[in-house]
Amino acid sequence: MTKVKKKAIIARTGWKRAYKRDWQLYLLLLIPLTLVILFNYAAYPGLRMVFYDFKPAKGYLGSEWVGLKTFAKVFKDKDFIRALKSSISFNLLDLALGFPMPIILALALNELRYKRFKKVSQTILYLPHFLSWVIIGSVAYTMFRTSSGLVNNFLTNSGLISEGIPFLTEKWHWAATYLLFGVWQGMGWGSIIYLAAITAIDIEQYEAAMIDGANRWQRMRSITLPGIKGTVVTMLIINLGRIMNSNFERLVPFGNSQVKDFQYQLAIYIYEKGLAGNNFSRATAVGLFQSLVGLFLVLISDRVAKKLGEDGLL
Amino acid sequence: MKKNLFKRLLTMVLIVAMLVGALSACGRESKETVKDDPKKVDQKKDDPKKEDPQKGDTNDTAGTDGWTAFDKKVTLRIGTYDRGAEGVDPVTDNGYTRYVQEQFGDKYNVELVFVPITRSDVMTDYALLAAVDDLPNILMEYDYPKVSQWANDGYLQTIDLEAFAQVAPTYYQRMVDLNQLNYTKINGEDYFILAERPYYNTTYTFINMVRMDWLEQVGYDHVPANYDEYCDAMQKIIDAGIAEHPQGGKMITEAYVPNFGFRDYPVNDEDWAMHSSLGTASLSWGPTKKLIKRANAEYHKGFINPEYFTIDVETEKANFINGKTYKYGGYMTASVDWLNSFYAANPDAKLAVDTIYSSVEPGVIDFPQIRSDNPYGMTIGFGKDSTSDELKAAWMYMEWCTLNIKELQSHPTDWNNFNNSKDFWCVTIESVKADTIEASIGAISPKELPKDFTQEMIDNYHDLKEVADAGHAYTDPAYAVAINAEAEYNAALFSLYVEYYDNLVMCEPAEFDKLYDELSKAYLDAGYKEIIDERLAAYKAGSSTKLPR
Repeated sequence: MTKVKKKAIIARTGWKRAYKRDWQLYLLLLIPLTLVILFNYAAYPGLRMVFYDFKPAKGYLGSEWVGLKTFAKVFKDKDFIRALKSSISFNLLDLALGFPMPIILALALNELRYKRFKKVSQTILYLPHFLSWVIIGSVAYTMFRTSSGLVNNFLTNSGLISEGIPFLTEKWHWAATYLLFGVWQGMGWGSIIYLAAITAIDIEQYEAAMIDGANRWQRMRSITLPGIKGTVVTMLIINLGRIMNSNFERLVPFGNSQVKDFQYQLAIYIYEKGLAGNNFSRATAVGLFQSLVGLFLVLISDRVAKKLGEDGLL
Repeated sequence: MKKNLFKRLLTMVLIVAMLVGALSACGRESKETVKDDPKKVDQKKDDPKKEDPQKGDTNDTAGTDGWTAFDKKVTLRIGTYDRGAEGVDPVTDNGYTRYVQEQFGDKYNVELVFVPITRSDVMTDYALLAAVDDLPNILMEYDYPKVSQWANDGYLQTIDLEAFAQVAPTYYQRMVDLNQLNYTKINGEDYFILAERPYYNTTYTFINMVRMDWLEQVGYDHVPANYDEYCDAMQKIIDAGIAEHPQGGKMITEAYVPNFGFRDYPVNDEDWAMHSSLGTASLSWGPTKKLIKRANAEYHKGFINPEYFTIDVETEKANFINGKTYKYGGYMTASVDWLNSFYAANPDAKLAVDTIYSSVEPGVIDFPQIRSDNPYGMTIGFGKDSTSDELKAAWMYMEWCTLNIKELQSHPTDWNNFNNSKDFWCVTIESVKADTIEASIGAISPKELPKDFTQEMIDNYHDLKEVADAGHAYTDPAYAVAINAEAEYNAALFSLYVEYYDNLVMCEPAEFDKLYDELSKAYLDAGYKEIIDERLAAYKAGSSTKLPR
């Protein structure tokens, strides 16, 4: 009897039967699967470029095989070390400044009771996300130029400062300005996911806490924050995976020769010493290095999150 | 049941449509290439018709008389500079492209496709096209180091000059007459066709305009005739409150160092071979040091905007148009956008053509020396995968442009393209060429302005010619072998040069010499030493042009 039942179950879940029954669903699944294979995996054979002195017009067969020489060259290059240090430093600072801000913003927005104000504020906060870095960079220079920028003109005319602050032309000032622009651009958009997580918290918990006499701060600390902890951890893991990333679009419009010490990050290195120098192999080697370190960081942080009792990402 | 069937059908159609859409990204124009397949190369070589475009057609008569329309439509792809100029029609479709399609393309069954190439990033654009096997049939560039790199990296195919002469006899004969055949080879093989550059050793088409009204306000009735006068005028303009930083300035955007005036005369041959180049800035060379030292002095005198390194090309132009700076320069045509805008914004202003003598300073620049242009305009190569028909169509187009150049150069306003459509007809010649230099200048002198600059431009030409006749105008060496270190380090060195140049310009004058030595060493170590060593070796091996005497 048991055997018959088991057989029946196997027959029901057999691939032929499953396919016959749900073939439309499998076909639908084929779409994202094809896209992922096409755009994420189909490029993988191209990674062999790192083992060649790749010349685009000669292809793989015509290019010289150099083994691991490209990696050796990259890791010995002091410009790479300089770019790596700057990238890691700025990404850590971006994380330290930029990661908590959307959470704080989401908590603050959640506490707003006047709905129209809340919606208008949200829209205003989301807008910078839709501006390209080229426009933001151009606006930044107009506003923060040392001698003729709006901000310095205002501060000088108000008598608050005697000479312009080099917001974008001295490297430490530049670092602060660059990071704050990053926070400004991303915090509104980043808060969406936390606001969505907050809406999933059971409203009865708030009601119960109110009956128990909990004030807003206590409700936020004891209900809202624990309620979105899982999302925060997931987002943190994702962001840790980006520690090796570098945003060319953001770095270039803010750059100038006086801040190159900090602005020279991996994206600039890849462009200057890779693509612009027709050295595709070097660009690929650095890109691969970034991806592998990013993957390693995601795996480690996922492990740590799980050890701490969280769901993790994988 | 019917409803179910409809749903299934709709699902199927949607899925197929999306998959086809996604997969279409992987498509490529069906075109036979010989890449990576030696058998195909052999087949191509065995077929004389394929190998020799001139024999690809039935008629053996030279020149246009021998041309007939192609049986099967040929698509001719021409790499064309896209300068991102505002207010003009796109490079791919404008009055010029439509005209040549009608007059040439339709007649010979050729579809002309103009492939936009970002002017400021030529090498990357071509590299990406090469990476996807989509190189144009005609590749053009002014800088010889770049085209020699293309030849070396396999972008181009070798050509048979005799076959070219058969299809384009006028063009070829002009190359012979202008002594351009020395420049067709790389590594001993013919790759290039050279366009004409009229009056190449005088650079008369580039004109610097200065604010004559400002000069008059500070007591000058003429454009400063030497560097002392120039500095005096700048200081007086600042003191009179006319402009805060009259010299303006902009960030460094090109590797070319205009240090000809600062060089010894005659310049040492080997120094010239090592350092004189458009491709890589010559930091560590003596003349470059003198040039930057002068800029350092001008910076500390307040002539230059203290934030010049944040000012891009467009802002520099806008600063002149808005009356903030003393001088601005550019190539002249019948209609110059920045001059039109300048007079619209400053209707009462007076401009004058600057003189080449305004930089002369005894002991520093004893007399003007100028970088003459190359004795050729565009260097033209042909994409490695071009078929014999495409190659023939390319040569026919070049010959046709040569024969019809007057027509092509005479529609500046109708065609509304940048710089009188020069980026299209440069496939044969670099500027308008009339019977006399006066008429040539008359043709490119800006029209419909409050002032006619023709005579001043002619005077400027004669000044330049005087310099050239004295032997003080010469160009950079051209190498018949690829300088590999240049390809490798060029981009990184440029970035380094920008950083070091700005540090040197802004440093305290007392620290200049020490800093220059320090940064020169870093620059040499970053790859410049390898480049100059390779150049010198090529020069000594006789694989380059020689310094004219």
